[in-house]
Amino acid sequence: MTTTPSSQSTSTRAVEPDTIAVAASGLRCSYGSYEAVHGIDLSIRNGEFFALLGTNGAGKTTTMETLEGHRPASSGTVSVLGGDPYRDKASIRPRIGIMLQEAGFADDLTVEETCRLWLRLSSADPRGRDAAEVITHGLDVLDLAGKASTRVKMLSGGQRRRLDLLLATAAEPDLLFLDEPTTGLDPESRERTWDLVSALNDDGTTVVLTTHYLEEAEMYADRLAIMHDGAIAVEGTLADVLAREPAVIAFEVDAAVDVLPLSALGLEPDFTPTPSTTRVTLPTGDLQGDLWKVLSWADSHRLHLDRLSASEASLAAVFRRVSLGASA
Amino acid sequence: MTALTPASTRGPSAAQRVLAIALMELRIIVRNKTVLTGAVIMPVGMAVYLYFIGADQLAEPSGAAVLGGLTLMLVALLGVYLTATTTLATRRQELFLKRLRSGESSDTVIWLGMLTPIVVLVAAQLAVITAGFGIAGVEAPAQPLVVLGAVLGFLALCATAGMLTSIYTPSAAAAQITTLPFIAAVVGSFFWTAFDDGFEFASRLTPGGALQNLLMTGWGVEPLGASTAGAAVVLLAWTVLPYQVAARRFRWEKR
Repeated sequence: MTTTPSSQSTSTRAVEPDTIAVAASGLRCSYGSYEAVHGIDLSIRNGEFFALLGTNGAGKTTTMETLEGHRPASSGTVSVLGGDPYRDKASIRPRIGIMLQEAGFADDLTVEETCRLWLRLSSADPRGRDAAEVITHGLDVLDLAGKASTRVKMLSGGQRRRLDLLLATAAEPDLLFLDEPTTGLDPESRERTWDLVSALNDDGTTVVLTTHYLEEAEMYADRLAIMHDGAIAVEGTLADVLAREPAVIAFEVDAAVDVLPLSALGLEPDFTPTPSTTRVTLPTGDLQGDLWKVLSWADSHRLHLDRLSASEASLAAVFRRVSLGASA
Repeated sequence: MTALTPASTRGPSAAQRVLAIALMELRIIVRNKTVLTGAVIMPVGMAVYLYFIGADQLAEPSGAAVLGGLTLMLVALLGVYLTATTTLATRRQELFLKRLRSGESSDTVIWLGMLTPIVVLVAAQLAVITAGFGIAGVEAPAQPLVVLGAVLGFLALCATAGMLTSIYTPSAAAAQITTLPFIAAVVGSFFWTAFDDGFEFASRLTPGGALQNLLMTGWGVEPLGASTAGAAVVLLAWTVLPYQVAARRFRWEKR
């Protein structure tokens, strides 16, 4: 059984609810002449779980690394825990945990030596625990206790990722940046990861997550944004985002069937002809009502609808539409 | 917006962080037999070899200064410059530099932590070699503080030059190539200074020239004076310049 921070401690968080932990205004980030982020605005409240989604190359990691203080913004303003993450690094870093998308270890150190080194470089534990206690607890929570004496180069990819998470969360930070934390993890490790992160979030830690696993964002994020081509295309709570996305009815009929009368029913179908059938896709804001119309139409024409599906709006559908460049 | 009020201000000092990184790096060096051999045994072996091939000239102060210079260059260039370049390139390739930078340590702390054990290890080697030369009867320097300053300055120069070279070194293997120009330049300029070719002033502005100038003064071959101070400034400049460039252009992660 895993032991999570909230099960062990009373909160020591020095943050105030309903205040802003991360803010960006007109944020632009460039690599030479290439602009990766084109002037985004972001506002993340203290204690919030915020997911930043997007296709590969959308600008998520650049945005995250700018918020973490790894690089200065090319223009615009950034504020993290009340300071500039790049210039006020010395004040801000003790309060944040960073799990980079890709960061390594000294391969010849053992897992325990790696943790010990990290703690020797970090501010004192906010709850006053000594290094041995923090390490033992962290290794136990992330199921790495049996690997304490193993050199890092002998760890699997998933074990390295968990060690990565341990270092980011060891000090139970006020603000936690997670850049694709569960990539390459097996289901059990993913569950352990989210147990730990959720417990920290429950305890007051603000979490900023990027992930390609949309179901993780759906399950854990209070709010989310989808980036595309260096800009934020969609932002809001999951309900807000899905409210703007239509449900979809789809089916196929024989190519000889006249499907144009569907338009007369007040529907707006898209038709995709195949060699023997016509694929019909119907975006709808009233799934039940329009499904009833379609089935009635099919019944009255004695048609069989092949591959019939009716699906509610989903984050995956929003993501697909955004990644194709359609505006939200 | 929250005020910038850390929950805990109790953190390790910069010196404690440098020490933590340095001890980690030392542990890795000791564990890696190839690095240990290259950084410790080979330079000492080369010093012994140099002593035996030049033993007949060591009664003269100039001979001792040249032996001292050659030994210092070999040990520092292999032990500090090459090792610093290799270490920084390796840690960058492992993405460990990026990891360290994601924490609370400043850039300077990370550089000092990575380079200090390398310099200390070589300084210890030089101390052993110096004792060995003393026992073997090599002429002692007339101005030991000048020699000490030259040694420390050259070690620092090798460390900052290693920092700079590591920027252009994508891997540990590539360090065998990327370090060659600087090694050739230092050794070449050390010998260039000895030639009466009309470019003495220019030759003394080189790192090898400044080093030889200081060592010759240290062994009493040349008088202590303005040219000694000039050589010290040149050596200092060759230490600071690579640091300034490296600090601005340093690469923390692989391409």
